[in-house]
Amino acid sequence: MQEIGYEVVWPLGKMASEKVTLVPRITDLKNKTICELSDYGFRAEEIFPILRASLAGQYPGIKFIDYTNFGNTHGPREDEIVATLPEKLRQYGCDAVISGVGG
Amino acid sequence: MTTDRFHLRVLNPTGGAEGQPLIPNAPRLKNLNGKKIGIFRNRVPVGQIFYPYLDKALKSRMPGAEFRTWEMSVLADADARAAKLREVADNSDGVIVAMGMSGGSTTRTAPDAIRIEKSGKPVAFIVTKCFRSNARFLARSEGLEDLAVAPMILDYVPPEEEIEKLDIAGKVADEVVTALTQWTAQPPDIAEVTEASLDFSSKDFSTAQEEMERFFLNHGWSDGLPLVPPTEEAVDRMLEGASLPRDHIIARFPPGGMNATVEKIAVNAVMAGCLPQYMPVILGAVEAITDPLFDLIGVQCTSGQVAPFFIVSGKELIEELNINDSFCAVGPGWKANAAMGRALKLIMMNLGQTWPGMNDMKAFGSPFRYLCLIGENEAAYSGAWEPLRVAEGFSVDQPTISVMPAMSWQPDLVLPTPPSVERIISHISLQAKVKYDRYALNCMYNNLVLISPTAFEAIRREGFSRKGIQEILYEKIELPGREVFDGREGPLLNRLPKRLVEKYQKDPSAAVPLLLNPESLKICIAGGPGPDMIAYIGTWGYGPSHFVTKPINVPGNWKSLLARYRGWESPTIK
Repeated sequence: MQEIGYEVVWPLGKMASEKVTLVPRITDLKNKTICELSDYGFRAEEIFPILRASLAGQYPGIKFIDYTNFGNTHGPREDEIVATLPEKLRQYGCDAVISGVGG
Repeated sequence: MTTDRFHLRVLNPTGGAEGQPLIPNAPRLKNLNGKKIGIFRNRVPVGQIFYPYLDKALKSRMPGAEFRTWEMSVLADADARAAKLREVADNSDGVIVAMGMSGGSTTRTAPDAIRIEKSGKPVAFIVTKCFRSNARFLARSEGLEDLAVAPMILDYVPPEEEIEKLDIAGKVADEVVTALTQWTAQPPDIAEVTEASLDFSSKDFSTAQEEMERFFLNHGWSDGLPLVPPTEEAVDRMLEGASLPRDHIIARFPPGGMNATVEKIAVNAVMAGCLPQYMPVILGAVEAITDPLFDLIGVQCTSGQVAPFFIVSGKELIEELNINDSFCAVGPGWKANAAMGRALKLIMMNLGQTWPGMNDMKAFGSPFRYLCLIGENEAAYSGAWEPLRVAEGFSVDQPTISVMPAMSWQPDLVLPTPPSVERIISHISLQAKVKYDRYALNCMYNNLVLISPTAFEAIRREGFSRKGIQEILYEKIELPGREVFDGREGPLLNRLPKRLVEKYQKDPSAAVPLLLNPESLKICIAGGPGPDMIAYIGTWGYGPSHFVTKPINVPGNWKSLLARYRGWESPTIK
């Protein structure tokens, strides 16, 4: 019996973005500067204050840069705002970022 | 020298010829002098403008004829209609039937012309240009050789000044004279294929399948996407999912009038990529859409953008068949939902014999017409509500399939989160008021609301029952009568429930409900959790199409069937 074969072509594309290794986590948040980024949605105005209060109770000296200093990272000016982030994070002396809220 | 060829034998997915010879058209009249010409006309809105011009033109073209006019709504009771048509035929030498000016009006009025012609009286059927093929197709599906159409020169009835300027009525009257005196039947627009099976031969399977696909597409048997060849073996496997005999007729399928046998349904299910265990759902769905309450002929042929929207209710069956009831349930990309929906579309095309532009006359069509089938997310009720099938009068142990004549798709995010029931009600009623059918209103039939699991949490927390929510929505979904009824006179106003018309006439500023009653609004929890979503699915409303629910009955070999054909579940990220 004759064996018939059909070759097919892989339907997926190659991943366009480069893989990036995660930066090391901070072992202790004491005296660290935490920048907040927000999409201004999904109750960010309630959730960020709760986070601040909770973390401040656990980590003396922790400092927060309110998300309103950066603008809405998922709004009509998203591209422009995201482009300014590296510089702004440097200016504020950022040690870590909390970004949210996904909903 | 011999060359090896690959032979692909597949079954015909259409009903094929039913074996009944076509009735020849009535002899035409030699001349119109002294003849009694009946005019049977429907009450389409443009008729008020056009009929006076038509009457005048007919009298000028047929000065020796004696005219008598009968009038009836396209939605009149069938018995009253039959009696009226007999009266018209008995009292006329020739009949003018007017008029088709949309998919719906053509589909509902052409059968009147066909019935009179079958009784032996020559008929001229007046129709706007683009609906000619629809009218002629209906003649053959009703067993008549052809239908003499008297088409307008335009696709629509223009304003009065243009009717006069272009002599629209005069040209139609000329066509009427020809139709009654000189016309002869013509062959159908698309050639019929009566063979039970078809052979495609080529150098290999792949090219034989291409030949099959091209043939199916050229004959209007394809939705344009690749088809699985309905070989006899594949159809036999599909029939393992049906307990009924293969020649059992589930329904006569409108508008083509072909018999939807279990075998023909299975052929189309194979083509759509279904598994044998999907057959009970498909058979239930066919029963639902062919129930007279769904008005399938209207849904198939209307100019309105309506599509059947299917909901499977039955937790165990949904799990067994891997029907998506969660994220992206409405689409796309889920084997069971996509294949069953597609099978139903192919069944509607191939057994109903519909084709865009020929007799499926939707102006835009609808993405739902591919078609859409979802599962009810029963787990999300958390026992707070009975599932849809129970609300529709079935036992909790009886899986069902419901079909909604869906015209609109209006998803909305309820904010702020977490929402109160008051906010959910407000969003649903807002959507209902945005899209109510301006022609027939939504107040005569059913509408559907999908609520996401997270939004339902608010309803559960606040302790509202299904009936309670329906009653509140009935109260809230209302508009001032003036806004709804202004500009609607005569036939348009007469289509609506008398109580609403009387309320409006008494006080035009008084609010009138846009729903028939609380129970007419169907509610189903579906989709995935996350933000609080609702979706309002407004009805069609041009024809008497209702939300219909039918049982899904699995065959005795169910468990072994599931075991035999497992492994086709769409991947779920846990």
